Order: sequence, then structure tokens, then C-alpha cells
Amino acid sequence: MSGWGGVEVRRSIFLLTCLLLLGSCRTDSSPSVRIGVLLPYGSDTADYFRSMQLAVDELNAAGGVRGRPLELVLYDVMWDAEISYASFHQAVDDGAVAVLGGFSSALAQREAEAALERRVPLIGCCSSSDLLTTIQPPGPDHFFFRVIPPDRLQSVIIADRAYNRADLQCRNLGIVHMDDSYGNPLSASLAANFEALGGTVAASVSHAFFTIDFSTQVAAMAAANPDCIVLVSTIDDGRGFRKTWMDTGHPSVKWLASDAMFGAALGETFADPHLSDGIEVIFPWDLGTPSADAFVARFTARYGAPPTASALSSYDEAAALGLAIVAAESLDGDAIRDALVRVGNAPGTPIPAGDLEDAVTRIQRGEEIDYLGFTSTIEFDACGDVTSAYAILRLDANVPIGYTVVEAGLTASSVASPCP
Amino acid sequence: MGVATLAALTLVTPELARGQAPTPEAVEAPAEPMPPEPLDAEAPSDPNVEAITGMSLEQLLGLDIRVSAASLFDESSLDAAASVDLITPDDWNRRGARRTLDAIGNQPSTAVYPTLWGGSGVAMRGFASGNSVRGLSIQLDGVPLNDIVYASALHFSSNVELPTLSRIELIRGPGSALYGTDAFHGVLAYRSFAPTQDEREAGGEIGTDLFHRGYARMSQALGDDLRLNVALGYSGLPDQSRAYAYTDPADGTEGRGQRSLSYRSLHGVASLVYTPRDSRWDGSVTFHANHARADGAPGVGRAADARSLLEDRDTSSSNVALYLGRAQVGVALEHRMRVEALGYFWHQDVFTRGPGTVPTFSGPSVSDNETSFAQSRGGARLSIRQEMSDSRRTQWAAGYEYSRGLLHDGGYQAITDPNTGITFRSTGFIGSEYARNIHSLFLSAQTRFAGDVVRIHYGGRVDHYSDFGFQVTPRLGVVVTPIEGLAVKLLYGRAFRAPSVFETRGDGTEIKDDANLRPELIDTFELVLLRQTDRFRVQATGFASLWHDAIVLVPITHPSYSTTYANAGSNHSLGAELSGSYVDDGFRVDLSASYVRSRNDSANVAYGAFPAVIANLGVGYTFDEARVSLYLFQRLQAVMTEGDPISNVALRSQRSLPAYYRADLNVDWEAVDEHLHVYANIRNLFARTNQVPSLANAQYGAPTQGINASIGVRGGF
Repeated sequence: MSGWGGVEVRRSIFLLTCLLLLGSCRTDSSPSVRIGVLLPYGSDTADYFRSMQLAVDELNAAGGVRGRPLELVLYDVMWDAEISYASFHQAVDDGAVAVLGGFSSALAQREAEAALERRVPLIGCCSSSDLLTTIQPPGPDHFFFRVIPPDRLQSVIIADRAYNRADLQCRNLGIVHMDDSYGNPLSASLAANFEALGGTVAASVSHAFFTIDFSTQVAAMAAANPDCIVLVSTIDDGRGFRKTWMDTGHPSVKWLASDAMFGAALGETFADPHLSDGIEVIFPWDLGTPSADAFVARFTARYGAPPTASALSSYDEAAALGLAIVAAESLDGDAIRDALVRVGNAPGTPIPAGDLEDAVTRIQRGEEIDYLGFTSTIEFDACGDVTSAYAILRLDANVPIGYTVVEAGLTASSVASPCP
Repeated sequence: MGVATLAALTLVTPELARGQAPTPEAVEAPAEPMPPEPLDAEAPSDPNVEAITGMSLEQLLGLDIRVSAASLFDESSLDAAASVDLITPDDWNRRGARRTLDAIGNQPSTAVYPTLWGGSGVAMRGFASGNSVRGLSIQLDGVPLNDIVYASALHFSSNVELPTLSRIELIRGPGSALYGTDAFHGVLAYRSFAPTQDEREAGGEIGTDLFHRGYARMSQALGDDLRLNVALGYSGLPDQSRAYAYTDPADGTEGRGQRSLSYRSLHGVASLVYTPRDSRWDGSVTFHANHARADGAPGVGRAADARSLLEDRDTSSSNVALYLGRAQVGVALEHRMRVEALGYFWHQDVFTRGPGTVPTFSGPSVSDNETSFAQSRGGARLSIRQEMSDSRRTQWAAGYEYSRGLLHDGGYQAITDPNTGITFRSTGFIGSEYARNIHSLFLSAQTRFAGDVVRIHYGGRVDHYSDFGFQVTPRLGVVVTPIEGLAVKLLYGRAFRAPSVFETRGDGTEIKDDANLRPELIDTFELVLLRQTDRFRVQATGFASLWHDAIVLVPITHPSYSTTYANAGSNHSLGAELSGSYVDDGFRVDLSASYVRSRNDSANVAYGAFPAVIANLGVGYTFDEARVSLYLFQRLQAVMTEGDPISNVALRSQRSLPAYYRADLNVDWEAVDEHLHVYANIRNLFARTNQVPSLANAQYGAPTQGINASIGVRGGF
């Protein structure tokens, strides 16, 4: 090898080695405490995240987690349980210490599996299936909580109001339900409760999530000649069935719906809000309290428009989880899980929904708190369930908020829980 | 590897025009055994011609250039069983090419389009659509660069700095019989800098648009048996602020946006080659590092919506690093047999930013997407071949290959909804690990009959994919040479392309996953007439391609997704290609032209984004005493529309684009003997305002660069 060649060879090798090393260093110096958010994202579901962000910002303004801010990292789960499961793991891999999810019961089932696998707390806003009560055993292996009561409560109230309310007087009930972990158990318990009151379930027809053609279901229902129909469906599916029923000239019936019918349409096919007009929807949260009004005012001031009503539950789940992280002795999943029960349940100083600054201050002073929430009493039982009063709303796209309150303060306290 | 069709072999040796000795790499003897060896050239003596040019006329016209990209053997252009175009450094220098895909943009029935993330789409023989980033197998020193996520290397790492290469070969037509998946419309094979003599060279260039590049390379013998080759090249183009027009979706007025179209590209290669004189064994180890960054590249245009939803934000960017290593060993056996083994591995880190869409209550809404992921590919190939001899009428090659592609865990998309300001991550396709293992057997053979008048080419490849099973791709060719210098070829080849991860898993926002996708298939028939004399070489090719089970987007009903990929398309194309060269007394003419009609049969529309007419004409002359060479290259593309009529899943009317015409002038002055060249390029000499079609269906196509000039120097020392 010549001298020139030797020097140049070494220099060339050095340059190539340097080239190889370029871009190989990554750093992550974020001091934040991450919370994963699993949500089927769309502009129609954005308010759920905005409510969570509002709660987290209020917690951070009050001091965060011993000076460290909470940070929400949102994952779009595309209404797909497998993506939701993978996203849970991804969130934990990305550093999340807990997860806000459970946007639907079907999604929550797989998310709860991941929560147990990773031993990371999961709290759900909107997954109400009775099946979720026992999805994890009580005790040290329980990581799933929710701020919406289980469906066995609303099934009692729907059956009671349909049968007993003077202006309804339903006797031959039709049930349209989704064929999933939300629709199947809720329709079954609704049918049992209605029949226990002396009524008859004329037909119970199922459909897949996001169905476009309801002709088969409508024909089956029409053959049973119901006087009332309860929609245990999403708003798109409920509107789709009702539109098909009316477009095909079937007789007028009274329309009721479970809580999933309250929200925004997800697709374009049945987007017309007037397709819901007149449907009475049971709703598990109290929309008329001062704290709820204050939340709506804060939300509107920040985002320029009032939130969808269901977004209150997202605020609640984010607030409860954030307070738990603040109160936890460490960022370990078990510690956060234990703290979630402590800040949600009595004993402790009651904290009205939205008063997070006071809650953080008390936690920092070492006091026990009892976060009340907008949407339920947030008293977790051993299975992570809560209870709530219900309201019945009549949907009406002609009024600014989209509904009028028909009844409020409805409870079903006598329902037995399968939680051990 | 891979064959399917026979056709044009174009030798481009600028020395012909300048009357100079060829550069070593243009005529080098086999330097480094490498399956498939793209090209080896021999230089038969011809005193009459050598007196003028320093090269034989046969050599200058490509009469005796030997290729093997179309098979596993070295064979002459008369015998070759594929449409192989050879592009040498002098070729791309003479045409002022700045990037590798500039260097192939002058071939018949081949069109190159700027596209998302600073990448390029390459359409061949009529099929130009949003899918034209797929279906071209790109090989770097015999290593497949096509990735597992997009089944493409055109998005991110297609540019290898030209001074780090010794040549490029382009096969037009199916190549799966040797290369497997992705060699669907063609094969692009890069051969890195690997001379056989000591060499030290450096150069630089600067343009009026502030394009700049520099490179240094050297080859050094390390004793009698070893040689070290090192090359490092860099190029960059700063903000061009090139305007584009669109129709405002809100009020229908015309709006203006700008794209910076800037890039930086760095490529380094080092190889250690072992070629002992007294041993049957040889081997090499090669290492590549490639970094590419692009900003202000075209975005997604109107791919998701008939309107220009992106308005003045239709741009994208990327930042990608690729590291590749390969090792090869070969041994020559008796009876003209040879065994070779190759192992390779590459890793790629990808970051992209660009517009996308999110589903909303009232249809798709524009979002800003950031994507980050890492992927790798590794493999090994073992082959054995036996060449023809005077007593052996058949030559054959066979082998086994294993390849593994891996999408690494941990990637994500970060999507910002501009309507809400909310950023979310999507793990729809990219957030979890995905592996694909491929086991392949291949055979390529050739048997001669009737003396050497008739040769039958035959062979094929069997691939087994871990995610969709077996795929068989045959090829067959008949070559008849009734008289010396005339060949008539009838060829058939089938190619396939396996679904990409992107296609099977969707995009996580608008495109739903479909695990039942199958490979798409294409059958191609070619009739080739090749005639060469001592003064000219001309080749005419007619072809027909039938594309089955094409992977296309179809609409679906779903709350989150609007489309999915399915094997629901069928297409066909018919065309004629003509290419030729004429050389005499320092004067040279290069011509290539094509006329192609292609149709999307399932949608019953023509592939409007592919120019039906392509014509390229190069004329050069060398002034011997002044040691100056001039070369004027003109390209014409006509009968085309601003985009593909099928955008996403909707059929849309497209405007016709005016004919694209560009003339480039290259002046090369041999300043100090053959070791120092000063050169200048004037691109778009007549300052034409040109547009090329947009594969993303951007309105009015993609505006191209105006007149610009550059000056450069390169020299050995």
C-alpha cells in the first residue's frame, strides 16, 4: 500500500464511519407524565379529547404531579378493537403511566386485556356493557375502571318508563340492538325487565355496527307489529333503522333509545340531525348542575363552542385519573390504581366536579379527597363500576342544544351487581 | 436474474462523440462477480474505427456489449432476452443528469414523475398512476432496495449520488422470473463505483439555481489481490419557491402556492474486493450509507378528493437514512461452472411529514401527518451456473434465495387535525412489527439449435411468501439470427408484485386493512427486430402487456375508513418502441421514441398521465483540436393529461397538458489532457414552461424547472 493510499484509506474509512453514526442518536428529555388516550378520532369525537385536555390543563395549572406536567398522548383506534389493543401497548411503550379509553364496550374489552397484561390502569368514559363488570377480578389484578354506570341500571329504567309512563304505555316492545358486547347484554336485560313488568317483547332484531341497509331488520320488526321500539344502537345505526322504517311506510310507533344514541353521527349516510327528532334517549348524567354549567362555560370560552354533552364524562375520567396520579406514591401502575380508588371514593373531602385546583392543593397537603364528578357519584366498587342518576332527553335538532329534558333524577338502586 | 422480455440495448459512450478513449468502467473487464452481473464489456479490435475514436465501432454502437441483468449469463445484445438500457457515467454527464432518476428519464416508454416526500414515480409502457411508485425493482450491487412498507424504493432511497456509481441498467418489462416480487414493470440496477485500476478523482458543480454537488472517490490496490474502493458524493438544491396553481375549493377562484423542492443527498460506499490471480476464489465486502432529505416536495394533490383541499399547503418532506452491507464469495469450477454466494442486510430509518386526511362528519378533512418508522431487509443467495461452450449447446443457472423484510415495532403516525388543532397518533398500520420471509428457487437456461441460428431462453422462479404462499413466474423466449447482425426475438414473461404492508394494513386513517390481498400479475409479449451494421444500430420493439388482479383502491362503507385495497383491477397496454444510434467521424446521433396506448379496463378509461408519444433526440460533435465536445439533447412528451383519471376511487375528468419539450446543452472541455474536464450544462435551453402529469392528481400537473445553467469541474489526480 502506498503512503498516500494508506492515509486516504484511513480517512475514507473514518468519514464513512462518521456518516454511519449520523442520525443515530435520539434523546427524550420530556419531564412530563404521560397519559395515553385511546379514542376513535374524528371531528365529531374531538370534544371528548378537548374535555380531557381541559381537565389536564387545570391539573397542571394547579401544580401537576409534584411539578411535572401531565401530558395526554392521543391514539386513534379507528373503532377497531385490535388497533385499540395494539395502541394500548404502544402507549405504554411510549411511556404512558395510565390510559384513558373505553370509548365503546367492544373497544374496552380488548383494552382491558392489555391493561392487565401491562398492569397499567385503564379508565373508560363510555363503555357501559355489563360484561365489563367482571372482565377483571377484583383485587390486585384489577386495572379497569369506568365513570359510566353499567347497562343493567339503564335497562331497568328504560323498561320502567316504557311500560309505566302515562304517555308511553308500551305493551308490545320492539328492540333493535347492535350485535356486540354493548347491544346483546343490554337488549337481553331490557327484555327481561320489560317482561317482568308484564309487557311483551314483540321482536328483538340485531344488526352489525355501522349498517347501511336495514331492510331485513325493518321487515322483521314490522312483522311483529310493536307499539314502541327501543334503539340500542349508535346514532348512525339508530337513525338508519328509523329512516328505513319510516321510508317504507310502516305505522307510527313511539321511539326510545339507550344512551349510545346520544352523540354525533360518525358517518355521512345518516348525518341529518332531524333523523333523530322525537326519539327519547336515556342519559346517565346530570346536565343541569352548577358545576356542569361552569364546565360548559369554561369549555366554550376555550374552544369557541359548547361541548357535546357526553364530553362531560371525558372530563370526569381525565380528572379522576389525573388526581390519582397526583396522589399516587409512585408512577407504578399498582400505585396509581390504588390512588384512583382513594381519590374517587369516600372518605375524604368532597370535591365538586371541576374544582381541580382545590383537589390538588388538598392532596399536596396530605388530605384525603373524594372527587364527585359530573356524571356519576364516582364511588368505584370492587369491579371499578359506578352508579348514577339518569335523565330522559327528547332529541330535537330544532333547539340549540339538540334536546329537551323530559325526566331527570331517575335511579335504579335496587339492581343487583354481579361484582363479587 | 429476472427476464421476461428482450429488447433494446443502448450503449452510451460519450467518448464516441469526443473521440476519446473510454473511461475504464465503460469497457472494464469483469471486476467483481456479482449476481446478477449487470454488464460486462469487451472491446474487440477494429483499427479503422480506433483510428478515429479510440474505440471500436462495434463497441461504440453497443454491438458487442455483454449484458447479464436479463439472465444469469453474459450475453451479447443480439442474444439478450430483455429490454435492457445501459446508462454509463459519460451518458449521464453528457445529459447533465443530477440524480439517478434523471439519468433514466430519457428512455423510450419510460416517464419519471416528482411525487410525495421528494420521491419519484416511474411509469413504464403506459401504466402511470398513483401506484407508479411501486412495481419497479431497484437493486444496488445486486441487493434489493424495495422496502416492505411500500414495496418500493422510489419514495426514499432511490437516489444514489451519481459519482458513486459506475453504471445503471434499466430493464423495461417484467423481471420477476429472476428478481421475484416488485420487478413488475421493470428493474433498475445500480452498480457502485468499482474500477479495476488505481484511480483518484474529485469534482464539483454549481448551478444558477444554486444546485451544488461535490464528490471524491478513489480506488487503490492493496497488494496483488486486494483492492479498496471508496466514493463519497453529496448534492443539494436549496429553496426553489416554485409556484403552483390550484382552484380554491371554497370559492372557485384560482390560488397560488409554492414548493421549495429542496433536497440534500449524501451517499458513501466502500468496498474491499479480493481477486487473486492464482486462485479460483474471489470475493468482496461492500458497505453503503445513504442519507436523503427533501423539503417542500409535492403533496397528495387531489388524491383523496376532487377538490384541491390542500390549497397552498400541498407539500411534503422526508428525512431518511439507509445503511447497507453486503458480502459475496465465488469460486470457479471445471467445465465452465461457477458457484456464488451473496449475503446482504440493510436498515432504514424513515421520517416523513406531509398532508393527509382524517375522516370527519362531512367527509375527509386535511390533516398534517408525521410518520416515523424503521425497517430492514436481509437475505442470502446461492447460485450455480454453467456456461455454453463449443461442445455444449445449453447453458444454465439455478439458485436459491432467502429474504426477510421487517417493519420494526415502535413506529407511529402523528396526525394533526387543523380543524381542532388536536394531534393524535395512529398505529393503524405502522405501529406494530411485521415480518415477511421469502424462500425462492430460480432457474434460467438457454439452448441453441440449428447451429447458432435459433436460441431458446427459458426458466422461471418459484417464491414462497410467509404471508400469502406460493407464486410461480415463468419466462420463455425465442431468438433467431438468420444472418449476421440481425436478430428477431419473440418473448414472453410473467411478473408479479406482492402486496405491501401499506396495502394489507391500510394507512390507519382512510384506507382499511385487507389481509386477503393477493399478488397482482402481468403478462407481457414482445416482438423485437434488431439490426446492426458497422455504422448504425437500430431496434424496433412491439409489446403487449396484460395486467391482472391489479391491486387498486375500492370504496367501502365503514365509520372510520372510506377505502381499502383489493385485487379488483385489470389493465392493458400496447406500444411500439424505436431506438438507435449512429456514429461517424466524431459525430453521433442517439434516438429513442415510443408510442404507447394503455387502458384501465376495469374503469374503462385511458391511462392519461402517461405520454402516448415520447421522442428523444441527442446530437453531438467533438472538435478534436479544441478538445471540446458539444451535445444537444432534446426530449418531447406529448398526448397526456394533468393526472390519472382514477384518483383514489373516483373517476374524474382531467385536463390535457401541453406537450413537454426540453432541450439541454452540454459543453465539455478537456482542459488539461484527459485528467481535468471543465463542463457546463444549460437545461431547458429555450426556457419552455413545462408541466408533467401529477401522480397525486394535483391540478395542472407538476410545474418543472425553467432555464438554468451550471458549471462544473472534475479531474483525476
